[in-house]
Amino acid sequence: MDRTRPLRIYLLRVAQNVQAQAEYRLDFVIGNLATVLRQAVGLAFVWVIFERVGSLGSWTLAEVMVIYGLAGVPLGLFELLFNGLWRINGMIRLGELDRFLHRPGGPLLYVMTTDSALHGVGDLVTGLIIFAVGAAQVGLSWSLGSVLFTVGAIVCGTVLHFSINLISASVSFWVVGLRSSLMYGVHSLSEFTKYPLTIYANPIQLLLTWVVPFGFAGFYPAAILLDRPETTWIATLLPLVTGAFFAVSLLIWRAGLRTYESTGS
Amino acid sequence: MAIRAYAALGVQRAQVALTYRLSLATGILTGLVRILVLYYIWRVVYQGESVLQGFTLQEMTTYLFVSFVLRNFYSFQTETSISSKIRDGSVSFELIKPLNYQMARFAESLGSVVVEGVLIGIVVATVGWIAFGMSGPATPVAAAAFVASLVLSLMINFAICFLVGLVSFWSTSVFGIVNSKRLIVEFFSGALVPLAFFPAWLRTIAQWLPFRGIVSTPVIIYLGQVSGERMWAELAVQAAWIVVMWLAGAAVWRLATRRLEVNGG
Repeated sequence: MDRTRPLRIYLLRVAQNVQAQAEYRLDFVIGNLATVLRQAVGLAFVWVIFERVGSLGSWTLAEVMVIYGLAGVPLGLFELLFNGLWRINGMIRLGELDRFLHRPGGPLLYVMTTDSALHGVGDLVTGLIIFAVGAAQVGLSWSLGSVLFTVGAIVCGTVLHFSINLISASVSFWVVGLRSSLMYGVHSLSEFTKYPLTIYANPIQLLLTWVVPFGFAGFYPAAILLDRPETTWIATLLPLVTGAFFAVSLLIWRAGLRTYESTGS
Repeated sequence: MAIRAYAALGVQRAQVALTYRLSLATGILTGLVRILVLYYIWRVVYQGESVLQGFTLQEMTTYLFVSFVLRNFYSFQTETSISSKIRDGSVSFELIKPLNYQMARFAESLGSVVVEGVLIGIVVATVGWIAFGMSGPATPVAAAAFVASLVLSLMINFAICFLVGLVSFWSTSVFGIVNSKRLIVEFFSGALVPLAFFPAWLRTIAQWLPFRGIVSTPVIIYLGQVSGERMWAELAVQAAWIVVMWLAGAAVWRLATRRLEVNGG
């Protein structure tokens, strides 16, 4: 089989989703308005606080913006590229997974492309803008190295969102009654990592670094860019953690698929 | 007789709400994540400060928990139930019933609020009191006025939801619109940051919008930050907004149904 075939199938299906949703242009505009508003409200909150106190612990407003923006970009990319993962529970429950089981490229390829949330564009763009404004105010000096690092960090962050969501969605293979609630709960933890992780109590920091490592999808790479020494050694583990969680998520998904096929439901 | 019909609608909706306990429970847990994020941000902000804008850290913690309950008395489901009736066309059945559409939806929302609100209230108050040292109402009078203000808050919230729900007569982008509305309410009601922290110009805007009656007014009464005559004035402002928004809702409803009849005729 042609090696690039899965990629072509993937792109074709995303293009289809985009095309289908382009029919509803107003939906696209308003959906993105909501995501932009969400980012704006979150930022307004930070701004109101800084108006009063000037800093968040040892972090300046510009530094928080770098973290906040860098956390938003992988989230937007995830929604845009892999949003179909949210439907896994429903597919298992209703037996809809069956129709993907024997298609070329494997079922995951089709599951993750059952939806592409165009409102992810809003998260992506506002994230980039907030990041850029913050970075300019901090006075980050850009080199080829730091640009490549930032791109790499965004890719890793997106893969982390994918892996964490795939793991929590795969739990549905064993506990169908959960609906998507576990996934929502786990996903909501990413809320923490829009702000400097160091402000939280230790258990929360440990949770978001080692158990549900959303900290690597924004905060840690931002800390490296900002040259904050207190977190640098953990931040260097970014590719390792990403790779490990990606591998584990695929293993869990495959194990889940086996139980799905064997029950034949 | 009409009252019995409305009551039956409320009871029925309460039963529906009870069947979705699990997703409600995860909703509460997800919400607690958000409270925790805000709590830690405030803790850092209060480092070395005892009072900010008239709030001690304990009052701020109390504000967080009480405002969360107020903000979430209405679940997303309840908010969209008005528009979904319009979208799926079942609104036409409502038209032939000898009930006031607005009153009927209000009765239903009260039904789900009794279940959802009470559950959220119990869980959040327990966590707040045990783990975070949240305080009770400032005085017995404040407690009584808080209950009154809470009821008014529910009615404002409903009146706004109703108005926004009617938008689905004209647009299919309900999800984005409801989400945008939620975010605007979240910010201007003081659910995210107390209005006292707003810069003067922004506070003036918030002062003249109806949203602060949903969260800010009941909470500052709870905390005893307004009392005596000013407290009565605040309650009166809430009541006035209910009248205005209710009448606006009724007017838009008439406009919309006229359109509906034209289309269906």
